[in-house]
Amino acid sequence: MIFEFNNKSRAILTRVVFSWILAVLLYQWSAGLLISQLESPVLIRTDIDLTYWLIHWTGLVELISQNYWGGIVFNILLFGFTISAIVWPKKLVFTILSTLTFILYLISLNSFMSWHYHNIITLLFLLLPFCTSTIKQFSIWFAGARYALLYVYASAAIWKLARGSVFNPGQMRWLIDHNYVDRMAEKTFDPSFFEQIMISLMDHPALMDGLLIMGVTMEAVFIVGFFTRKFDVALIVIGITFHVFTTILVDVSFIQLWIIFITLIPFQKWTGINRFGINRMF
Amino acid sequence: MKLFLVEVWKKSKVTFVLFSSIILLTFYCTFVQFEITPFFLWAHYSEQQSPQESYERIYVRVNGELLDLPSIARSTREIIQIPTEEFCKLKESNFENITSSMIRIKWKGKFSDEFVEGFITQVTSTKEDENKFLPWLSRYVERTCDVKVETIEVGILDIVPTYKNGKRSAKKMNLEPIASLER
Repeated sequence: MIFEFNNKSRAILTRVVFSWILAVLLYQWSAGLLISQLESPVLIRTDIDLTYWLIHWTGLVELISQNYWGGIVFNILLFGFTISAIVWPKKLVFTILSTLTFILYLISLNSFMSWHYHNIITLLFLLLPFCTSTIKQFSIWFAGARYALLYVYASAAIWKLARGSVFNPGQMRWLIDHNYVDRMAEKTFDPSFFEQIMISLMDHPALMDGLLIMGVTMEAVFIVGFFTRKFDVALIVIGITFHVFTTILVDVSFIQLWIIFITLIPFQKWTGINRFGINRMF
Repeated sequence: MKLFLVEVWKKSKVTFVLFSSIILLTFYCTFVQFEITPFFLWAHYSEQQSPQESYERIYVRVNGELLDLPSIARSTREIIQIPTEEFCKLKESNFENITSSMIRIKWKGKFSDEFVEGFITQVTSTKEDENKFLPWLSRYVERTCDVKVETIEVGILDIVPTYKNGKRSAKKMNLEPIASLER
């Protein structure tokens, strides 16, 4: 059943989600990854992605990346619209403009990085509900975002099963070898606690393969979410645990995406009047 | 899922059509292994791996010293590393790439040559970018690595994992310069 939000709960969710977007942008700023910080990048890689083609064809990417003031004005708009969406969560114009500038930023960054990274752009699934004009549409699209999240993990598991990599003996060890070899080749390499554990684990390929099967199982259990909402909270725990493991094992945290787990929160449990007679949050 | 779509149909026919289209396009893109944002493929780490004696990597040499790329924060490092990998590949193929080839094949005769070439310049890297890459890389390295770049060289090398006396390590070999710049 699609949970019906109200104006108050939508405003709370808008503030939470766009605060997260602001935090992501602040991190990107601190890492020198805003378009104005990229020093007018030269190479573009759009592959055969028609969405990237369309956006580059408008000339907007060139405008914000090859011109100092273009980049600065874009930053002001990007941050300004996001902060405005937090301050005035009921003004639809700010959530739409924040989403559009955020997508333009990510497509530009991915093009210049020569890699269509999914670690942030997937937030688009979560942002779309906030661009709808009515509460009914918001509730439907928010429920849809939950299925998008389930699909992401279930599909990742199916790919690994279909390609046979999950049962490929030595798969995990070679993946780790691939990730760690660059660090090990540096004379200054001083392994941290986790890195030492990882390097030691490479001597136990059967254990590594067991970890891979466990990881793929964690992704595969998201299929359950297509049939019932009973285990949504467990799926949040499994999802975050999975990413903690991938951070340690293959240096991939996808932490920017964690906010998407908000779609699995059972809001229906927080509706109505609580036992103290106070209106609950949602 | 079926029940969800039934409920969407009851609440909004337009949204039902949109959702159905998104689902169909997602399955289509997955089936043909073709990615168009936002119809992503979630195939990371799904390719079967096999043991390798060595790994080909790029290197960046700044003022005669190899840049210690793993010591740079991942997100910043990727802006140095991945475009440099792309540059080395483009140099090898004389800046021909899948995007420009596909556009030329599919659009030949359908649009004017002038439009096609102009479009290619807008959506992908071209030969004209070749001499601009190292000056850009120098500027970005100066900004993020806090070093004054006087000379810069990029190329490819092999990293060979080693296992000696129970200790894992790796060494860099076969450095092959691709391009360099003196400022």
